[in-house]
Amino acid sequence: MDDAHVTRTATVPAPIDDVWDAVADTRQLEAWLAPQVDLTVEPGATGRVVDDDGVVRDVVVDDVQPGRRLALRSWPSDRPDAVSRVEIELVPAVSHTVVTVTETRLVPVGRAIAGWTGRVLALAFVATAHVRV
Amino acid sequence: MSNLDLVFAALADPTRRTVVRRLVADGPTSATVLARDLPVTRQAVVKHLQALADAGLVSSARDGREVRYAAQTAPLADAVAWIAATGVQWDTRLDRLAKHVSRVKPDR
Repeated sequence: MDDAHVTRTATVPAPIDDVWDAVADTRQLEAWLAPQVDLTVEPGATGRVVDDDGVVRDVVVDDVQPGRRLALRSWPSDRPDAVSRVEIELVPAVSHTVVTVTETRLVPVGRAIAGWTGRVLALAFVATAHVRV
Repeated sequence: MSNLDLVFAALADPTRRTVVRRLVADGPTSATVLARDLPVTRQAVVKHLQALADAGLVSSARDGREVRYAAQTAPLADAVAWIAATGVQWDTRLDRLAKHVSRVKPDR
């Protein structure tokens, strides 16, 4: 199933151990993830982050595979129904690390979504094209 | 459930996506006409139209003895905006991550 998601991949010029430290250490998370991070990166941990735009998000850590993968869920504190799942995966390369982030918009059970990302864009394009005609 | 989640959920179903495409392309259409070209009953089409209406993707208006349904495309813009904003947010974060680890290990 292709859920509602956005994926980004970046090449980070550092060894994987250093990149993992930046992902797993609270103080380092504040250097890149969000201005305020109150979260211990361990399975089942709960915490809170304040995003660049000031939005306060509650966070649950779902999976930690040291040096390889971090998965968590988060939602705005005042919108517990708007849950996103974030997966951060690291793959070592010769002189750098490839970081892949996938953020998936979770829809409450019973309203599972499938393959909509491209299809929403396609629909929007069709709609725009027809509006312009 | 937020409006955005309703849009995502409504568009999860392939029949509903087809219905939206048809309404965008053909303009206001009755459930009977829509059902002619779909492998589902008129009753099922009406249910799909209701789900789309709940998400704000379809509006309805009575035209004589039948109800005609029209596509409402504004909610699609919200969905596209979420995709775009989330992507930009991660571009920014990953850029900061690259700079951060470079600073932490300046000798590398």
